[in-house]
Amino acid sequence: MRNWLLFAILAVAVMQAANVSGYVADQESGETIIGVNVQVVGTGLGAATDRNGFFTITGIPFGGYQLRFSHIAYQNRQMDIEIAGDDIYLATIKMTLATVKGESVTVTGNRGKIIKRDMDIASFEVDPVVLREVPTLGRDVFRLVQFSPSTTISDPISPLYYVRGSDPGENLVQLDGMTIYNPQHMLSLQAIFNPYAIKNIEMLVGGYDAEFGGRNSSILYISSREGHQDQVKGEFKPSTSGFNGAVEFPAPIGGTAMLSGRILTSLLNRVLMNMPNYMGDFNGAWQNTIGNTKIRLSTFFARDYMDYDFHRFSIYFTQPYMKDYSFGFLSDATNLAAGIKTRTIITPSLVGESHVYFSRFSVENNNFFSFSAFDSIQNIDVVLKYNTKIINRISDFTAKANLTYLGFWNQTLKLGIENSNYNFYNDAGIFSDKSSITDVNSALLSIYFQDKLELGPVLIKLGLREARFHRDSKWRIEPRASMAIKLGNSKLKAAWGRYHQFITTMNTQDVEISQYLDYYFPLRNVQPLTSIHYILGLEGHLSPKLDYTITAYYKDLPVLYRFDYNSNASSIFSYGTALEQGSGQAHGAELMIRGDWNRFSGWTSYSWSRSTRSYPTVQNGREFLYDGDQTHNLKAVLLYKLTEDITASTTVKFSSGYPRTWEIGNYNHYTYDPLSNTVGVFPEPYTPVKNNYRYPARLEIDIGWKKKLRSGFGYYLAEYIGSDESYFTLSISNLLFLRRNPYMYIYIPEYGYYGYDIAYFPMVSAGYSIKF
Amino acid sequence: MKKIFVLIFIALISCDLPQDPGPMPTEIIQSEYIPGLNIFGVLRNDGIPGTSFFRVERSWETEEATMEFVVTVENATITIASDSSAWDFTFTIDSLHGEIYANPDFSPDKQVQYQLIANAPGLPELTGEVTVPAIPMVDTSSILIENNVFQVSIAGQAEIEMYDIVVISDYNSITQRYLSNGDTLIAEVNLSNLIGEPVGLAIYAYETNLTQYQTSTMTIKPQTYHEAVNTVMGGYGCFGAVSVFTLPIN
Repeated sequence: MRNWLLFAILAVAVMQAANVSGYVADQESGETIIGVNVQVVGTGLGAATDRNGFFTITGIPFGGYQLRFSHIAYQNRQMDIEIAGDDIYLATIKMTLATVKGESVTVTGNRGKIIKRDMDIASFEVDPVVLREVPTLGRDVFRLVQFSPSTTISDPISPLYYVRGSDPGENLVQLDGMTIYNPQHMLSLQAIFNPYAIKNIEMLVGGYDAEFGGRNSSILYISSREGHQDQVKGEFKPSTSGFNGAVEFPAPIGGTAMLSGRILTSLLNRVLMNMPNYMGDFNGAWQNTIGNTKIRLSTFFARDYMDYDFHRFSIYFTQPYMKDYSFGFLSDATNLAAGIKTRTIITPSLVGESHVYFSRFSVENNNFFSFSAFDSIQNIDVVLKYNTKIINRISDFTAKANLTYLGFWNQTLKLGIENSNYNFYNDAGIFSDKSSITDVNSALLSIYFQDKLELGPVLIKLGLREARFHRDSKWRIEPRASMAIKLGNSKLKAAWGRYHQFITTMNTQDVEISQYLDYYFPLRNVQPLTSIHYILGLEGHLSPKLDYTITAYYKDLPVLYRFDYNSNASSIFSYGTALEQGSGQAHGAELMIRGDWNRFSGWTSYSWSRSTRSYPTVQNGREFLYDGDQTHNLKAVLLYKLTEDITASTTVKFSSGYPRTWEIGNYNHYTYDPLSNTVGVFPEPYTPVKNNYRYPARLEIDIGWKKKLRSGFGYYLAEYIGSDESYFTLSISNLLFLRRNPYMYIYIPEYGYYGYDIAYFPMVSAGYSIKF
Repeated sequence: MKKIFVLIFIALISCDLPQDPGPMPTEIIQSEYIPGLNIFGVLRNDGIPGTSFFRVERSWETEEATMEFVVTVENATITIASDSSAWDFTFTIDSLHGEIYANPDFSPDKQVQYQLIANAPGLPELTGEVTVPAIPMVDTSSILIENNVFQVSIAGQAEIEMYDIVVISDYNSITQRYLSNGDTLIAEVNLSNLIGEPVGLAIYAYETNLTQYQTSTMTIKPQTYHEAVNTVMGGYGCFGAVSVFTLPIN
């Protein structure tokens, strides 16, 4: 009886309440602002603006209130509202920048604090200002992502990263909601996103909502800038390897626009080695508001070309032993995407979104290694010809739409549908074998429903996603649930979810000389990759300016696939037989502290993790450590405000070594030439146990320095061309250069093993940038 | 300032110099090296005695390798046997093959199964077996050269797993590989890279062992897991067979 009474009181209270929603934007540029806290003063009710700069506060009881808008980089703003009946849509609230001096450092440290965390229990959100303030990050998104407590790498010269023990191919990267495949430049191993064009970087590392699907491990959501409503603003950064620039401006046809581009080349390789190479990326966005609808058009293009033949070293270092020596790779990759997105406030309680985009990635990757040498013992020529060729292409035409309803009982309901039409093309070959061509069309249809319910200190999210890869295949259900409970200044969070992935990637790192890329394949007529996440977290404040997050997770990986490229080249002729199903698990705990402390700001994290795999044909199904398993990871990104104009920074990474397969013996592999009835030999390592050794721990420390110019040539040059500000940056990477971080061991007869490192000396780089 | 110097000194002495091997990995799962014979034997059914041969070596531990170490095994006993006969192969140095084991009188019969037994002092006995495929049945009337593409029809045979079709000119040759599913194969060879006119055709038919071994991949990257493909027991390598069809082209 008492329960029913409580229910009735709640119902009456909710019926006499309404919702408030709206956008928050920068007064000067018109760009929407992410992470603005909007509070209904005196009620404890509030919300933060999302990645669209949009907020909704549900269940405000009838009456007069003051709304307070606050953001660390902006002046606070208040406004009065009267809740009397209908829901209120406030259109766009403008905020004015608070200060310029020292702004960026403060924002860097407080980013975790300024955003009112919602249910994304496992998110890593960073203001892209970090990329500009910390020179040692090389203005690279992926290098920044590596400082998340949830990521590990197993190859320092590859941009691919592991999130909580899952495969790199299970990470989704989206630019303004468009999926970007292989979003890395092969030449520089960095992300193909121009840092100036980035407005926000958000990484969901597990337990994410039903809204997100298609990948099982992480979602890296990158929002690009929207443009400037009144002036032409931008940045130009010339360097010896190319140029990097971006410009924001009011679009001639109305609305705002942004264009950015980079073209880079390695002059050293091009001039000294005659090895042609270049990389470029271009990003464009136009945005306008018509009535209650925001329209956004996004385009993206990137190209990488590398023709590296290390034989050309012999110009400088001749060797008499090998004839017809050839070693290198030729890679040509193109990435393009274009899409149009709308967001309409249909009523103050109903928001509709639609998005149509096309994304395509294609690559031709040739690796080769060949030589002939005279074998004085056998008195014959030993000939080796090793080459791999992979042409891989994925085309993705996606249409998606969703409706968000600010419903009764403090609920936010979201219903969405997505359809992706894919084309997968693969042409893979080893040696001179006839290559296998796979050309497959597939369609992934998904629907999802998400309900967010706020009941005082308790916030609950329940979601359901269903997906079908082909018309004739069955629907797969992915339930998701999460909750958060406020406990004083702390918040306890928990999440559980089932995730399916219908695209797998091929691991070729044991075959190709270099693997910089994921090669994509559809999972037709087999179970999808499956991952079940269990997450528990606690977050709170150590001091007013210092936050902490503790997270523990367990991932059950009951369906995994190994592309059995390694065992038998003939199996790649028939793609379906090359897949082997296995299973795995990953678990770990993470601690992160971020914020400000005196003149320091930034974050530091420690994580402990373990991840294993098992496949029937690998060591008879015996469990082995996963390639990305690193037990301990200690990371830090710290900034120190030396003066008004100078910021010093450092990045520190200490991690356990990754597991690798150590050869315990060798035997000769023979190649038979039937025409001459002769046989060639090449020594092969004997590796009966996968990942039987662990590499030594890695320690990397880089330092940086950024100075705003007040005088000198750089300042006057900037002043001459009418720019607002100019900066000088200096970074020294590999500071502990005498400490070796081997990533490969080469056996040298009569010497022994030699640990091969990629950086023997500290690398000093200086930069100059102009903002206008 | 003194503290800074002390810290720098401690940092330097705790580091490894570039010319050192560097910190070494630690073993986390014990794995045992098993020594064995390392063999490549091919029984060649081409109608010519003495063209079958064995290359016999041994596996080795990595640390054994010096600039001039030898893995050839000269004192092995190599015997093959069918249901009715047995043949010994003896060590010889051949200008074409280097150091091999051969028997000048041996010529394998088609569709006959042969057992291999190889022994060498201090190493486990290596065994293997192979069934020699029949010579490919080529329909010579089907040979066609059109638009720089050579075409030939080959009748399917159960024990043949793979074909290499080689078109030969006076200057070079072009090889096209086909996996066989037992059905009649219409094979095509693109002649655009052939220098000169085709003067000969050679078709090599492989049974299971040689097919599996020849299509297995190698790795040249150190510290990578690579599944060994061996078609022998008690050692490493391959014992296989090939049948040869040749035809001059006018």
